Amino acid sequence: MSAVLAMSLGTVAFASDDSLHDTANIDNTVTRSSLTVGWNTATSIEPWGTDNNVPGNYEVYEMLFETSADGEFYALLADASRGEYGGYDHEEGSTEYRVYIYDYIYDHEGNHITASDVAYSYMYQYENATTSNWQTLVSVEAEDDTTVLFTFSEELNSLGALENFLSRCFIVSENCTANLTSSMCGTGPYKFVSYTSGSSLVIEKNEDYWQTDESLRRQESQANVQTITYQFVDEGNSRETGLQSGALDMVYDMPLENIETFTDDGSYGDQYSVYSYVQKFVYGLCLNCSDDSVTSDVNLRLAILNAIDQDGLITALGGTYTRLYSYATDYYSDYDYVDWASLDNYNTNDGADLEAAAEYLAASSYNGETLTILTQSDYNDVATIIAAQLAAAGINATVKGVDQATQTTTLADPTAWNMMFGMMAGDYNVQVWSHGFDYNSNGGSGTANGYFTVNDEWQELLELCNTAEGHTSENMLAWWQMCVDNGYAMGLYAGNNYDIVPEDCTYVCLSDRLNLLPGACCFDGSVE
Amino acid sequence: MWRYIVKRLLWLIVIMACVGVIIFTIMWFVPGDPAQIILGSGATNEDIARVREQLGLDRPYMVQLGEFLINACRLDFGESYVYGIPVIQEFATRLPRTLGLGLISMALNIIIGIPLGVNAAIHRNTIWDQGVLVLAMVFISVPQFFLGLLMVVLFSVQLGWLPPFGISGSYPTWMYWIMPVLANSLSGMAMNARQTRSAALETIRADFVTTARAKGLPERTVIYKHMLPNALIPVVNSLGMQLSMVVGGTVVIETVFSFPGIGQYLLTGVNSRDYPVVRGSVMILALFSAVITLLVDLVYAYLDPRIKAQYVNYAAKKGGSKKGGKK
Repeated sequence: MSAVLAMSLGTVAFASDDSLHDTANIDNTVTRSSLTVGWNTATSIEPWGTDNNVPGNYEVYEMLFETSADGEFYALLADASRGEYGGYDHEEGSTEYRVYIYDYIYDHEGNHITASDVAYSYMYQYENATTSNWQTLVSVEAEDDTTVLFTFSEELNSLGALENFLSRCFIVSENCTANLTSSMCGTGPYKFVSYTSGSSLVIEKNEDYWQTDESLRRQESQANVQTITYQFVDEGNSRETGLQSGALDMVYDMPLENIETFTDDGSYGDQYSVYSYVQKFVYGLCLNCSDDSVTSDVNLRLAILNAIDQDGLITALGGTYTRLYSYATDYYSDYDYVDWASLDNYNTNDGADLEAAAEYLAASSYNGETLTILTQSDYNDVATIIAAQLAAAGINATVKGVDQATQTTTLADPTAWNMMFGMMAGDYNVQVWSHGFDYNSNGGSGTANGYFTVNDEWQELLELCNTAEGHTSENMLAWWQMCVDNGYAMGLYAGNNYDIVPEDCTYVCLSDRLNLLPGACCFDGSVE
Repeated sequence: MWRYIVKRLLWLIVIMACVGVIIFTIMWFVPGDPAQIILGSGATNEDIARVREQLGLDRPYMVQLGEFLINACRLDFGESYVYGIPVIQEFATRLPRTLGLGLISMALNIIIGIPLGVNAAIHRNTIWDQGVLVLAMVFISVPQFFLGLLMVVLFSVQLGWLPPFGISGSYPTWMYWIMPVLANSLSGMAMNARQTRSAALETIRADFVTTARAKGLPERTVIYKHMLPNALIPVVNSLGMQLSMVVGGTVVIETVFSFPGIGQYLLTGVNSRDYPVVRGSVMILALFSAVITLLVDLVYAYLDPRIKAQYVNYAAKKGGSKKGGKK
């Protein structure tokens, strides 16, 4: 297996085989008889549950529309041949959206899926409160067997808002008799076999898949494995030994420290390949702007952000992360709106700008106080390196590592922290910003954001960026410029996911949430 | 004796009520909002408020506590926020596994640990004795998770004899239990061996054992009829504690071997602030520990006539004084 990308991780050298995501390698003619995949423990297999990372969900259930891992929005149960927008109709100014579905969709129990099933699924998910940002939904009604009418309280102008509805609900028949907490019944290319809570999930190829027109069947809907067993293994070392012992064939999201033996030079390199890809998460540092925090001083904030050496941080972390030049990552399609790296600010510095940091520090009211870097315990090492870099600039900092839930509560107390290292994701970079910095999300109060920043102009720009018309390079640049001028935040790096795949895997298929779709991967038939 | 048992059972109710109040209060004050965790960091305040209302988290402390305690009496701990099913239903699946793991481990602790200790005491200062002591020290010192990983490397990766994790798959089901049980029981086994050895060594020098020997009784009779029952009294007391620990402390083993039991369930519940899961798991484990402690006390009384006599005398004394009062 050729190593296309080789990076160093301290003493660990590994190779990610990029050919594994080359569409030229797609060949759906070979069906592997079985595959055992190591996965995080699924807390629930419910289609409308709170767990977004349920293995098999994207293979057993389907939605009206989907977004591919490459960001393409496409119709799945929706009939792309109908409607002005490839599956749906909408008149400008109207709050109604009419979606058309195929009339030959059947689930695994043989139930005919109609528009009323779509309405039932949506309303069930809405009423069971497992979705966010659906507050504008008024009703979902079936007009006839294949037409669904979505009515909202306002026209969906904000960026990604319509996609957030149309590709965020699995469709299940109203007549489905299965208990969906312990079983699964969808329309997808795989159907349920068995589930042992906390242990494993088995699914098998659906030989009667409703979409028989191969030209309409995307790679994500292929079934190239007869039986898939998802074995729930949370611990990295256990996953590693699982692959080594042959108990697992594939692992989704292997911790970095466990991939060495599966690289080309590793002892199991001839049996497995490492496939790595950039996560959608932006890892960055946000500063507390509350009057109760010493970092309310803009000069101190700028001193802090200029004192950070991103390249040094990434090197210290093993060198496998992708450096960011803004609070944005090229994973999202709107990254190219601005040439972030060509800008001149603390986020584009080569190393730390200690001179600028010293100037800002001298101009600030900082008197040697020890600042608190709040983070989740998993990132204590990152925060510790940041604290060390700040110490080099004469700024004292200490790390407060807590669990995710505690972090959320601690953030609400402006006296408990000064800086926060964490991650944020969305469907666009501007949505990442919105999730992190909007007055009304991430713990914001409506008049200030979750980091206690009060800047109405900045907020208005953010809201503008999040509309279809306002999602322009000028607005994105203006918002970011205001951010760096005021020292509100800094993007540090984007992380990577590592999947371990068997040697006979020639193509790796991912869902839009970057979950591995083992059944849609391609195999060359050399291993059985 | 019955009076004592009834009294202890009444105390059990008080203890469980206290555990309920304590765990409810701790979870109430622990930072972290389940609604925020369910919806993710991008959720709006409106959404969070809506979910809090749906979960009943917006109600006053006393209302929620009262509801929890009343429902707990019916073993109704509510529905898990993240699993989406009643906690008791998940218990029905997972508790037998955890109990099975704990009880089999405990059985091994007793069946192997106690005879090892007795033999080491009988053959004091021999190679056998030294060997038992060294092995016991090793198994007590090595952490369970490390022992588990070593076993996986040896028996699964190198030898390919046993499955590395899970509870079902291509191997026969019983083979999935071997390594978790061994990893869970070796330290307990070692502790039992050491404790039995030292208890037996104390008893072996006791006057009644010397008397038994002087009477010309066979050595087997001296050991098994006179020495062992007395040597086991402190061991039985610690076995009760061990059993509670073996069942309650399977979190590590269940994580290393991806064994879907109560420990793994509790861990997930704590991380996701799944209050019904945490409260339910703690209540069930506390009930188990309290019942085990009661049973151990009864067995202790059965084994030690002095303690039994204390209970009988106490009851007689109370009964007598009442009668005396009437006179």
